[in-house]
Amino acid sequence: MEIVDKLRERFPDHYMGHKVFRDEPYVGVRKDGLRDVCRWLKETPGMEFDYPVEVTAVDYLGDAERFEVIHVLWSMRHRRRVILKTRVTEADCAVDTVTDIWRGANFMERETYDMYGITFTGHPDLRRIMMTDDFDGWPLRKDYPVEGHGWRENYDFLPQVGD
Amino acid sequence: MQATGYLWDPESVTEDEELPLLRTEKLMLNMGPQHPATHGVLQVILELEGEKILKATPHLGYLHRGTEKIAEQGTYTQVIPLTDRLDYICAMANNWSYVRAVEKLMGVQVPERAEWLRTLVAELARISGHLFWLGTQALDIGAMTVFFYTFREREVILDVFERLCGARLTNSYMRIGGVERDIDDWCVDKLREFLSTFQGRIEEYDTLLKENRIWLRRTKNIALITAEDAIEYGLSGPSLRGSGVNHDLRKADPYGVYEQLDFEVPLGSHGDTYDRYYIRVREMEQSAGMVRQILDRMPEGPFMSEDPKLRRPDKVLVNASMEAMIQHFKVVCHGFDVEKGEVYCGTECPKGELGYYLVSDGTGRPYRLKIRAPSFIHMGALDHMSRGYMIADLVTVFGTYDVVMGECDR
Amino acid sequence: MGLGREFDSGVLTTTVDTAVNWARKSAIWPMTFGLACCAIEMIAVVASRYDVDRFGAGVFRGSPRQSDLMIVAGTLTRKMAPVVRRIYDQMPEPRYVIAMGSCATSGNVYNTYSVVQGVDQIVPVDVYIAGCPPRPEALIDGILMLQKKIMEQKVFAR
Repeated sequence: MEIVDKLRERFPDHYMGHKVFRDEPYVGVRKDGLRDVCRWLKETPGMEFDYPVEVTAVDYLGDAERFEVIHVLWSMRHRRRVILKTRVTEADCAVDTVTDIWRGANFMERETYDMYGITFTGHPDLRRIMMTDDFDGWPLRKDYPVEGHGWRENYDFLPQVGD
Repeated sequence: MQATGYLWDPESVTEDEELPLLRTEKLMLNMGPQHPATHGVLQVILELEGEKILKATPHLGYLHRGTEKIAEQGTYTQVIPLTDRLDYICAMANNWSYVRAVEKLMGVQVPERAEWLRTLVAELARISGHLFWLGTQALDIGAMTVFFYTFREREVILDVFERLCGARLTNSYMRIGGVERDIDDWCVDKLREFLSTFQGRIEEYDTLLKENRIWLRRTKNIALITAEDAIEYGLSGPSLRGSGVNHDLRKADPYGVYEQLDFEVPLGSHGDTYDRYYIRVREMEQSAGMVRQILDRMPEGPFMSEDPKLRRPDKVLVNASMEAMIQHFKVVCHGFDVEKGEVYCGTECPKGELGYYLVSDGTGRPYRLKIRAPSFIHMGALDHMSRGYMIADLVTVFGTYDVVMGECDR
Repeated sequence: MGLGREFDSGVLTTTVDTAVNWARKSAIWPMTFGLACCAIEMIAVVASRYDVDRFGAGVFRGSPRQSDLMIVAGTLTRKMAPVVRRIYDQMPEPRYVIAMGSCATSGNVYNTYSVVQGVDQIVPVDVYIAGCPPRPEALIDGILMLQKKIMEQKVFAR
């Protein structure tokens, strides 16, 4: 596919494999090169992926590199999509931010941090967005129980009726 | 709170003029989460100078229900009712978005009539959603009459939905492989009656609002956003098209029967609230035209795929034959297995681009379902869009973005 | 809902009770507390077809200090729970709570890390309305049930 070939030619060390599914390329990118690849995808004429669709993550519990960070991008001019996939380990789950490339990625990265605990280095305001600031744990990880960690037994953060 | 000093340059004051000293301070004000005009539970911390907004920080998460976590526990069909509750005003469009993602991953072929039916209900949901938006936006700005009129129209569409699938609001009408039930003559007659009066009703709303001086003052040049900023923030739907960007997934990445229908995509030019209002009203007209075309041209045929993994057998057979009962049991309790893979699929919902990133691990349950909600992305641009305007304009900003907190927080 | 000066039940006190209760039930002013999808049905109840103003409950106040009824419509999350509690505390007595919908009654399908399983864990509830979302007629039925409950209250009589 044209996008994949050009990317492979420009960044041979960062390219980690690809597949094409339903006419859309899914490209694996090395963690260190993610920012350069994103900037190249946005600014090169012929690529022009100027619209951030999504930034999210998937937890593959049991793999050596546990988390996969996914960036979905769309090009307004050429009307096509590309999906970038980056793997990080649990011990070092930090990825570079792309907030200065697309401002819309701000909230998307905050949500990924809130749900998985993956830090985005260079993010202007990385804090929890969905849960309360004092929440303990990363809810969407596979080893976090659905019911949560027992705050539903007694509501001690609230005054009792009659106080 | 900081003292910012003088409001004018002290050097410019001459000896003769004696002007009083004014000390100004920044004020931090909390708006919400319980507030009549915030379209749900949303908290915004405002930094104000007088009535002018210097910075607006939204605090989300007051309706975070953990939909994505529950989706990993249920089968693919059990996730469909959860998707209804995202943008609860136009639930049909959410259903379609999810069902399309699963079908894209599996490679399922949906019968022709089912695609026409899906497009029909999606466009009805678009009309219903925009009517709701118009009523509440006008109510927030102060024009209460429009609210009562639009809800009168909306009730007709909800009656049709109720006859079609049993529920007015959160209808889980679509299934993977088709739709649940076929449309009957009562619905078609009711829709034709609705369509015959709808154009007149839209003209009624236009006479109330389009050249109303108060409406123009409250919406012209409020919440401006340029096309480049809108693209960079990831806005979609009427919020993006108001700034002149011609991006509609029904035309850019077509699905359903949109390629066979004749419709236009209205575009704005300034990127202000008035343009977005105007676009949505014209979209309602276009959707009504599409509904008319669909009712005229819909072909006969099955409304559900014949694949035995997906289709429940007829009830008469289930009670009579053992094989049909076993098949029914398997389809309902076990579901179907999807091969390993992942896909992203986006559709044009009334609020914007609703997308699903679906990862499957080979079993009958999704491994990861990420919901790309347009309202969440629009909240990211709230600060940019509301700086420099007054507090009363903030209410207009919520309305013009058309945020729904169920979708924003999931 | 005693006023601290209960008297023995007699003809006069029960008549006064009936009058006071009739006045209270005919003008219950709800507060806008729509959280999620049930809020849309609540708005539909206020709109043209299912007009709730004919039951006296049409004036939706924005502030808790001016309202009698809190209709909790929608899912209550852990982040929102202190807010609900604070608003309930701000309402002057006599105050009533209707839990509208399955999420407010019991948490619905959302048995997750962030959802309170029913608003009655936080505030005392008078009427529960089931449904997801309940039809507007069901909400009106709930308001009428609340009116019947108010009529049975003792104000002056013991």
